[in-house]
Amino acid sequence: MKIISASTLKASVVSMALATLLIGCATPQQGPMFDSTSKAIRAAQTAGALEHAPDEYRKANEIYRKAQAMQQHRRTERAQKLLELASAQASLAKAISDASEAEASLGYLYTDSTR
Amino acid sequence: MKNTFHLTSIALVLSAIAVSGCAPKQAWSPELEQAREAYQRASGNPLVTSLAITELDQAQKQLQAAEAAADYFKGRETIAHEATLAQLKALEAEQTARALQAKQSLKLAQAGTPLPQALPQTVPGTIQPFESLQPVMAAAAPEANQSMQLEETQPAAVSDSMQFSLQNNNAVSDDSTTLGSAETQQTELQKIASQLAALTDQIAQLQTKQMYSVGPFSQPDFLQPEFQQPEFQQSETQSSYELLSDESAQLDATTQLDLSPAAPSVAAVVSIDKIETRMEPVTPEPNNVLSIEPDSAEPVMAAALPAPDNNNPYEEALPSAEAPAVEADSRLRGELRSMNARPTSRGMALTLGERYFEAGSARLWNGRAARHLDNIAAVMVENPGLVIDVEAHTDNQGTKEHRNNLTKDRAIAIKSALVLRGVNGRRINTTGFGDSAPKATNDTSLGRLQNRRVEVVFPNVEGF
Repeated sequence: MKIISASTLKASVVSMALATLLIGCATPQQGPMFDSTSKAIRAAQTAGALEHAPDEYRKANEIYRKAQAMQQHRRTERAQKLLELASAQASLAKAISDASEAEASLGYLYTDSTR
Repeated sequence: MKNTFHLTSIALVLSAIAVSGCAPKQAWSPELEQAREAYQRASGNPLVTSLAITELDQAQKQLQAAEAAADYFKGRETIAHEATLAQLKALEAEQTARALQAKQSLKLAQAGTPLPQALPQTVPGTIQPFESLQPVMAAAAPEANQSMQLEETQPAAVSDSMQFSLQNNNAVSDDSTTLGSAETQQTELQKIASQLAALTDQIAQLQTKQMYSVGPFSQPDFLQPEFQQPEFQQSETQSSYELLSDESAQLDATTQLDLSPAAPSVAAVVSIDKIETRMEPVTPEPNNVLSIEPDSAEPVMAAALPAPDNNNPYEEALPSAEAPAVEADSRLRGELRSMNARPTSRGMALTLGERYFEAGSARLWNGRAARHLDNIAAVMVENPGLVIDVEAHTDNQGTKEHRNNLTKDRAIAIKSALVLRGVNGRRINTTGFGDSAPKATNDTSLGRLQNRRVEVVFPNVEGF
């Protein structure tokens, strides 16, 4: 009769515990709302939000991170609400940036034409 | 003992009645107040209503959702969340309009429209592209021309109707003083007038091709700076974000809704209406059908039901079926917009949400509907050529017969309320659409809420 050694048994227990821990801590899958909000934030950044609307951009990022944290705690409904806010903040940042960029271009054009 | 019991019961009942009477009709929320203010400011800005109509519509829907949440006493968190979203969307609409206006100016400039020699320095650090075109427009307009000639000696003589002050514009003053002889000035004026015509053509092309696929263009008053930086202070604007993230690490006490201080305020914009008006000879408003005695603008109260012989002088001008379109000047449009009316392809239209009615009934809540109805009645009494279509809609809940009856009754309820306020019933067409024309999906509660509505359309008021 084969006797399981103590070390083998210990290794098995540790492996099972680790597996259980990993399964429990697995990040819940992020839905399409995360993708769209992430895209909105990236679009704001591309539009120059870091320069023209830094506060709105920073706030959008913070809320997005908070939504990720909520999602990890499986508080999906709250995460969705935060994502809505983050998306709106990012859109506002983009709109401000677009306007500022266009006005700046107009200003340059004007300056060139009057030289 | 028995008497004491009775007295206690009566006292309890009376207390309950008093408490219920004092209870608010809607949950109060500072975020909702701010959202209303933001939407009012955006919807009252003609530039936003013409350039960012989609964004403004989204803000309106979001504000309706926030109002509905407050009406039904949802949790503070929900109300604050919806209201903050509405506020952000209203701000986005303003900024989108600002961006489109600047892009339009840029395209005009790139198309070769000559720019003036100096940028007016009215607000340091502020780019005001179209103020720089004021000399062009001023020169093309006869009355502006007069103003320019009178400028040096009589600055106050600049026409009030134009609200066109050139005295702060050093560049213009310099130009006008160096023009020299009358002949030179005439030649200059002709040249400028032709440039102006080209400019208006370009604007029209841009409107149709690029910017205004959503709807035609309503020209703002370019003489007044339309955009102000939103005045949200950090301390005033608490967001639902704050409420939502109460259990985790504190990030910031508030959501930053104030715009970047470095962001320049949006400049004045070109108004085709204004340009065209200025090119016409000055007449002291001879055919202004909308000019009325000041006291006639007062809302007619419910007690003033028109007599059967219809003594109301304004009702004499009841339009026939082929009545010409009312000349909806900017004042009338402004009044309608102040009631949150929006331009549509069928004319100006405003939406009365379900909250104006008792749930599932055609009974109007007096407190909520009265202000809107007073305003609509006042506008109709003020403008006898106006007719309206009252169109009631609902969601897909209940039987078809119930839905049809409900919408018909609601349309008639609005009509009756307006008739009670002195409007001739023949000027009001009512239709109950049932659920045949949904505005949003009936699969969600928010969509159904949006579908339960009454639309008041002013078909002979051109919204654009």
